[in-house]
Amino acid sequence: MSGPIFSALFDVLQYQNIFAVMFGVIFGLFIGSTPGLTISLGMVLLLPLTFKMPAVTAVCLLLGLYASGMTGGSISAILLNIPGTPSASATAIDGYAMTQKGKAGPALGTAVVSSFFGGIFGLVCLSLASPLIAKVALRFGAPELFALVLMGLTLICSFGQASIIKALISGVLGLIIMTAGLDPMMGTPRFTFGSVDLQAGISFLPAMIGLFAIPQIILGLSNKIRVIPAYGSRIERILPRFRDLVKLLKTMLIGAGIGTGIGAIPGAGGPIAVFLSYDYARKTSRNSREFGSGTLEGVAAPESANNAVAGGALIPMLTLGIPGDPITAILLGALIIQGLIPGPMLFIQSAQFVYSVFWAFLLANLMNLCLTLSTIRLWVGVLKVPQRILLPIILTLCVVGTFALRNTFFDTGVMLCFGLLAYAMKKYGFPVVPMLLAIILGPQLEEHLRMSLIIAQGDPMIFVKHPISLVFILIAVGSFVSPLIRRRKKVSVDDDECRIDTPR
Amino acid sequence: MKKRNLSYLIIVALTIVFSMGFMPQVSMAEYPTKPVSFLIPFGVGGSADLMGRALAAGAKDTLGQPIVPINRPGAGGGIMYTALNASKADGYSVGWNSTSILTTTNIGNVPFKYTDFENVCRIGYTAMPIAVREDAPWNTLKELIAYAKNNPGKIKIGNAGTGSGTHLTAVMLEKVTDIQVVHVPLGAKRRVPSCLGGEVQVICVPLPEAAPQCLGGQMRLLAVSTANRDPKFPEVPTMKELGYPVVMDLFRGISVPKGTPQNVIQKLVVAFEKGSQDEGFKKIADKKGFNISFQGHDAFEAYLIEQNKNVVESLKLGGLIK
Repeated sequence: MSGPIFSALFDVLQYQNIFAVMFGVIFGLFIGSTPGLTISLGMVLLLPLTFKMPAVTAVCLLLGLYASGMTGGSISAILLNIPGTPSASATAIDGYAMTQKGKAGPALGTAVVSSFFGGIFGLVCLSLASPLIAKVALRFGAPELFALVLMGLTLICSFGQASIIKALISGVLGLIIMTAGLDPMMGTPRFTFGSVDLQAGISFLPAMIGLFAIPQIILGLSNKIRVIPAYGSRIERILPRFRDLVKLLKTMLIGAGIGTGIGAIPGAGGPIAVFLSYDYARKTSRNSREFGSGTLEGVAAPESANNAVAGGALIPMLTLGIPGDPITAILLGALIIQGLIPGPMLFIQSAQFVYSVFWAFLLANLMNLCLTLSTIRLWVGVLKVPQRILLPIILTLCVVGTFALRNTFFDTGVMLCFGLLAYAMKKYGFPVVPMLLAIILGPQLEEHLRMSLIIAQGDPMIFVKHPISLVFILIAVGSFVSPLIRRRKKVSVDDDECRIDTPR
Repeated sequence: MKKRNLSYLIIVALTIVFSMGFMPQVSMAEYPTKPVSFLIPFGVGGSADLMGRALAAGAKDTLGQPIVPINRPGAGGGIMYTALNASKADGYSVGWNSTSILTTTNIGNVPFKYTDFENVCRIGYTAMPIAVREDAPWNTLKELIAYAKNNPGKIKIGNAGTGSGTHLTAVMLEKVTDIQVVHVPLGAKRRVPSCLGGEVQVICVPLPEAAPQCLGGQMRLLAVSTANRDPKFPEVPTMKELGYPVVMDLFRGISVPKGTPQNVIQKLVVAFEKGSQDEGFKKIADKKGFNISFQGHDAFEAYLIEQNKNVVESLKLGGLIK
């Protein structure tokens, strides 16, 4: 048993593999932190290079990119409030709030450390419990996925502290916008006004970039606020204090657990994992009120989740030959080209290779930790760039990035429209996160709902009959109702406050 | 100082001489004089993308210019075909087509037909098999059909999306055997997991998508949709030889806008034929279970007429068009 494990370690520790991981990590940091450049795109760009490499080197390169891409996305989310990848969007909430308070260093440090924690947690699950987790993940059919997505959507209420009505309006608007395009079941065009571009629907990446980046740029240029907080020449602390990290252990465990689990479910995806773990961490935290105003917990939860998604997504890929997300789909393609066929036979026929994947994943996470931590000073330095230089650069990156997604200016237009919308929303106090959630989850919600009904041949009881879906739906109903009940209680306790509250 | 002036003079003179030398060549230059855009109808990382990129890399030396892959995913291929249809017919926009060029244009979401393109050549095709989980009670397609006959509406067949080639294959099978099944448009992401998880008992997928699970012993193939047996799975019968007249290929080839000059088309045929024999492309095609089977311009157009008949018929049978 231990023979192949250690010879796999020696395989991975060849100098060319270490170099490959390093290159992958550096490339991933660049891809991840640039809005519009996705990890999938980075993988495809590197893929031709892997054809002529040994399988282990190829895996090292791609896993390095995967691990650091997730972290890289958070760097721009924390520093500039512009998530580089969709999975970093929850990090922006507390991460950017910390930057505004002048604590960009600790926020980044925590993000990197919890990313590492999440990655390692995912790896442990991957290496110890793969077959079991894969079995459970396969039980997630359409009704279960529908219930999971529904649960994710109820988080809209959690982001409406100021006004639940405004949060709901923002969310529903997002849901309505996402119905444009070809109907996911029958392929009938809806709200396309004869435009073929609209047939493909609104893709959520340009929408996300628009929602986050454009209002930042407009606010910055109108000189109303300093969007990029002034940063003293001295960066006080970069590494989070050890005792802070110990306090974050529970939060990181929650995030990593949710991330691994959701990553393993084919078709669920990283963004839903980060929002669920952010919300769950808040609900179980003692200082849940501080979430949103810049807490380390609010950074640690989604960050440990998004890197754990990577480990989780590898589980069905290696054990069943089914990718858990689009990125592992490309990884699967790379392995198949290498002549390896993932699935149960891989563990029997090429056990040593499977161990190499585990070691490579460990190495990728370690390298990501070291390289990112040692360059934080550099990243934070971005904040020293004057706003009048930085903002046009960001705008250029946004335009180029959205164009590059599908090589069309239609997406750039979508980004700008969402940007103006988000600016107006900010001005009138509508939160944008509910809209982002709706944009990410809306199409999935519809797809899984209708698929379930096709499978059940129109019988809505399918959601109640499946135990997993029933549990999720109950949680969803609970989290929707509980703020209302809490509000009631508050009203009866304090009548005066109620009167002040009503005009809202 | 003087020396330097002299050297400037020489450089200027040389530049003039060289540019004059090149000038006639430029004005009489033949296609292609600049990089060619290669439009891929699906997203990065999928089968169409990986094979398209390898093919482009293999064809560029023969063509003499870089072939730049550009993904235009969306609307089941409709986005790419629309973009291609609107491009100049100068041979600098080349589309990497698939069976989707027939399905999208017939369903009527785009205002043109496959005949509004010059269909340059076919690179090859793959089968769309009927697959079940390893522990499914049916050993042959006949047994499955017999079960479905006795239990109308009980069998659920997953496919890649309504109106896709896999859906149409299942519809054809349903109609020619006179059974009643539920078609579940699982989409590309969930078709295989859904079958492994037991949500649907049967799936119809492009062969490459199910091949890893079949080789790994988690799934079994009952029949393939192509006219001949698949070289990778020679023991699996075709639907035709089992007595069900269903023949549907998932083909891939090259299309350009209508009106592209014949000499340009001929150059593309030569370049892509060479590309289909490129080692890098052959390797990926082999791993993806894609049969390289080249057809030139005329043969491909004739093949499309026949395939289009099948597609139109099954769309009508499935009630997707009138």
